[in-house]
Amino acid sequence: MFAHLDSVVYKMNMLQLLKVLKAMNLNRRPSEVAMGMAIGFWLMLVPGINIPWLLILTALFVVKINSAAAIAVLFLSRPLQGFIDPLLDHVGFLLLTAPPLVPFQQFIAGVPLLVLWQWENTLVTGGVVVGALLLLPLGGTLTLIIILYRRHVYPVLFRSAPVRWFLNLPIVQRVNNWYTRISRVTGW
Amino acid sequence: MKRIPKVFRETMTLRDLKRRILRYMHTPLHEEFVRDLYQLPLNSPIPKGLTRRNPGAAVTRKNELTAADIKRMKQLARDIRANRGLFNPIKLGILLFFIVGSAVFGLFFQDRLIQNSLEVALTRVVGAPAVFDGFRVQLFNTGIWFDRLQIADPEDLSRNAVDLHGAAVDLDTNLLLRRVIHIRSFGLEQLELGSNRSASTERDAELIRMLNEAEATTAAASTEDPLMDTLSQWLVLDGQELFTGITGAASLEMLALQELEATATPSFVVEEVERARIVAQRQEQGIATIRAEVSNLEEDVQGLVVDAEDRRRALEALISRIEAGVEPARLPQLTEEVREETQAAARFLEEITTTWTTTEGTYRSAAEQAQELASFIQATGAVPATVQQYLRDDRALLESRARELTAQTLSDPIQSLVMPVLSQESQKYLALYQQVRHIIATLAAPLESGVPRSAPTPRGGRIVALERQDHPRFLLTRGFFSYHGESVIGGELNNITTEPRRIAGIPEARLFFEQPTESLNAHATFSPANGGTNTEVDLVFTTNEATIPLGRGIVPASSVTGTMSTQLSVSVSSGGAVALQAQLSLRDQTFPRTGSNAAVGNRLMNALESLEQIDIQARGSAEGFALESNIAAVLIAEAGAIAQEQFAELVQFLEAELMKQLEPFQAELQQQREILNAYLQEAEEAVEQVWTLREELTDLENLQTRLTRELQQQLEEAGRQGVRNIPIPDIPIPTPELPAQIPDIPIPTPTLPRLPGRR
Repeated sequence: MFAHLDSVVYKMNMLQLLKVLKAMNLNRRPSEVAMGMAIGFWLMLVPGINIPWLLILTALFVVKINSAAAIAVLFLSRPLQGFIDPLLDHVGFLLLTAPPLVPFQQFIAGVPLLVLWQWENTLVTGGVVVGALLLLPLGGTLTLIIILYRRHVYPVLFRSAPVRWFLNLPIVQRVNNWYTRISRVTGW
Repeated sequence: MKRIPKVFRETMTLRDLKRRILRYMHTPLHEEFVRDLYQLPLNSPIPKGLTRRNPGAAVTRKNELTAADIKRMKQLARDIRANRGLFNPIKLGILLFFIVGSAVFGLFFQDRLIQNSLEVALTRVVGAPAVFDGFRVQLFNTGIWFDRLQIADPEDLSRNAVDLHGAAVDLDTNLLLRRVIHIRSFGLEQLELGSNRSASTERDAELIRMLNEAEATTAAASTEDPLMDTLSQWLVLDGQELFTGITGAASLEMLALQELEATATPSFVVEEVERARIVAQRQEQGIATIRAEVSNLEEDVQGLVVDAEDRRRALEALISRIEAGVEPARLPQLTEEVREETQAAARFLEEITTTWTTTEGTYRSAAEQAQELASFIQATGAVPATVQQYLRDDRALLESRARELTAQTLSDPIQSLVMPVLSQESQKYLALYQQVRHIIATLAAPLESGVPRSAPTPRGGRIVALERQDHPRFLLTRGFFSYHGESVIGGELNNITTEPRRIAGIPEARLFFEQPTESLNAHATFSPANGGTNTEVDLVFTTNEATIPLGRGIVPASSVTGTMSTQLSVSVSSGGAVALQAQLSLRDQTFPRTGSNAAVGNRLMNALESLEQIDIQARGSAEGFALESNIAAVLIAEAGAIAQEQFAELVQFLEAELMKQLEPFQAELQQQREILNAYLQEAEEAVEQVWTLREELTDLENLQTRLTRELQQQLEEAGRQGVRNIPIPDIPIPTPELPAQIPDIPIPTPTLPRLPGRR
C-alpha cells in the first residue's frame, strides 16, 4: 500500500511545477509555498515509508501548506539524494552511536509505536534530524525570496505586455477557468 | 446586481480593514486593488497599534463597482478564506474520519482480515488448504486464539493432515510492531491427525485456486522424497541370505568351544611322564653304576685286606728269620727277599692310594646322583603348577580366539534377526510415517523458510540497533501442544525463526505420537552452521506377543517368543544424507525347548532368557552398515563361563592324569633312592674300612721300617762278626699323601613335595 502511494507521489508530472509557479503568483501566504518547498525537501531527505515520512506527509495534507510545492521539490530534488545520503548516513550514525543518547535510545526502543519510526536506520534518523534543522531556515529563506519576488518581480511581470497578451488569450483564459474549477473540487 | 462578498463591507475601520482583508493580501497587486477599493492611497501606511478601542478612522468602499471588480472581490474573498487559519478543516476532518474509520473497521473486521491472511500464508507453506474456525485477535497485548485449524492433506483433500483445536498464541507486541514475530508461547488443547475434513468447501476451493496460481508461476518443487526412498529400499532388503549366516555362526561358535576343549591336550601329560621316565631310567643306570663301583671297591678293599695280611705275615716271618740269626751264605738271599718285600710294600701302598681315590670318586658320584634324583622328584611335585600355567596361557589364547569367532559369527546372524522383522514391519512404518510426514514437513518448513532481513528503506542505510533490538523477523520461542486421548500426541517447537544466526537457541521441532502399539517421535533441528535441517524420526512399534523363527542358529531353538518392539530411527542431515537405525527389542523372551538340547545350548538359551530384553541395533548409512547387539556380549560371557568351567575340569583331569602316571615312577624313584642311600651307606662303610686299612698300613709301614732298621743292624752286627759286609740297598718306601680325613659331603635327603590336590 505504501509502496503504491510512494510511486504515486513520485510520479507526479510537471503539472505540479506549473502549480508551484501559479502559487508563487497567487494571493497565498508566501510561507505556504516556502514551507511546502521546505517540507518537500524534508520528504526527500527522509527515505522510504515510515512514521516520520508519513507524519510529514500528513502535515502536508492537513496544514495549509502548498502541497504542489512540496511535491514538486520532492520530485525535482531526488537527484540530490545520491550526494546527500552519505552526509545523512554520517549524521545519523553519529546520533545513533553517541553515548549520551544511548539511554534515550533505550527508552524509545521500549515504545512500541516508535518501532515503525525506523529510527535505528542512519538515513532515517539523519534525514529527519537534518530536515527538521533545515525546515525553518530553508522555509524562512524561501519565504523571503517569495516576498521579494512578489514585491519586485511579480508586478513588473504581470504588467508587462507579453504577459498580459498571453494571459488574455482566450485559450489561456479557458484553460485557467477549467483548472480553477477542477482544483476547487480536488483541492489541488 | 451581483452580490458583493460580505467581507468587503461598505464601511469599516482601518483596524478591521487590516485585520480582515489586508493581512490576507500577499501580493502588491491585490493589496493595491483593496486599497483602491477603499480609497486608501497606496503609499499611506496604516498606523500600527490599532486596537478595538482605537480602531482608527473609518474607510468607505467606493460606490462604483464594475463586474470585473465584483468578480475579483469574490476571488479575493475566497483567498481570504483560504489564507485564514493554519489547518485545512476539511482535510483535517477527512484525516480524522479515516483514522476513526480504520479503527472501527479494524475493531469489527480485523479478525476476519488477519484470519484470511494467515490462511493464505499457511496454505502456501503447507501446500494444502488451511482453514481457521473461531479466529480471534487482540492487537494490544497481542494474542491470537482460534477454536480450530484444519490443514488438509495435500494428497487427500477430504482429510486433514493436521487438525488443531483450542489454540492460544502469545505474541510480543513490541517486537511485532518492530516487524518481528516473536511467539512467546503457543499452546494447543488437542491435535488430531488424519481427521475428516469439515472445513468450508468454498474456502477450500479459493485456497486451492490460489495454490494453483502460485504453482503456475513458480517451478514445481521436487516431489522426490529421499527419506521415503531410502526407507523403502532399506526395508525391503532380503533377509533370507542373512539367515544362512546364523547356521555357520553357530557351527563356528561350537567349533570354538570344541577347540578350546581339544587344544588343552593330554599330550602335555605324556611329555611330562616321558621326561620322568627318562630321568628315572637315567637314575636307574646311575644307581647301577654306583652299585657296580661299590662292589668293585668292596672287592678291592677285601683284596687289599688280604694283601696287607700277607704282607704282614711275610714281613713278620722275615723278621723272625733275621732274629733267629742270619747265615752268611744266605745273606744275599735274605737281602733280596727284604728288597722284594720292601718293593711289594711300596706297590701295596700305591694300590691302596688308588683304591682310596676311586672310593672317593664313587662316593661323589653317588652323592650327585642322589642330588639329581632329589631335584627331579621335587620338579615332579611342581608339575601340576606348570600344567596350570601352561593351560592358563593357552586358555587366554583360546578365549580370545573364541571371542573373535563369536563376534565375527554373531554379526551376520543378528542381521538376519533384524532384517526379516523390519521387512515384515515395513508397511507399518511406511503407513505411520505417511500419516505424519506432512506434519513433519510442516514443522520443518519454518526452519528453512528463513527470509533475509530486507533493508527497511529503499535507499538502504545502516541499521544501528541496540543489542536488545536485534531480533529475527520471526521467532517462536516455544510452542507446545499435547493431547491425551486414545492416542497421546505431543509437539514442541523451540526457537523457530527465520534467522537462526540471530538467536542463541537452536531451532528445533519435536513431535510425539503414541498409541498402545505404535509411536512416533520426530525431531528436527536446524543447524545454523550449514544452514540446513537435521531431521530425526523414530518410529516404534510394539507387539504384545511375537514369535520370531530362528531356524538353526546360535541357540538350539527353532524360534524365540516375547514382547517385541521395533524401532526405526531415520536421520536426515542437512546435506540430504540419510542415516537409518533400526532397533529390535524383545522383552520376556523365551526360547521354547525342543527336548534334545545339549547342555551348552541350554545354557546359552538360559543366558539369553535372563536378559532384561534382547536389543539388536542395525545402523545403515551411505558409509556402510553396522550391527550391534547385547546378545553377543551375553553369549561371549556365557561361552567364557563354559570355557572357564571346562578349563577347571581340564586342569583337574590333567592333574589327576599326571599324578596317576607319575605315581609309579615316583614310587620307583623313591625305591631307587633308598637303594642308593643304602649303597651310599655301604660306600661309607667301605671308606671306613679303607680308613682302618690305612691305619693298619701305617702300622705296617712302621713295622717294616723298624724291621728293616733291625735287619740292617743285624746285618751290620753279622758283618762285624765276620760275615762279609753286604751292602743293603736303600729302598725308598713311598709315603702316600692321603687326605687327612674323608671329606664330609652331605648327602641330601629330599622329601617329595605334596602334590596339589583337586580343586
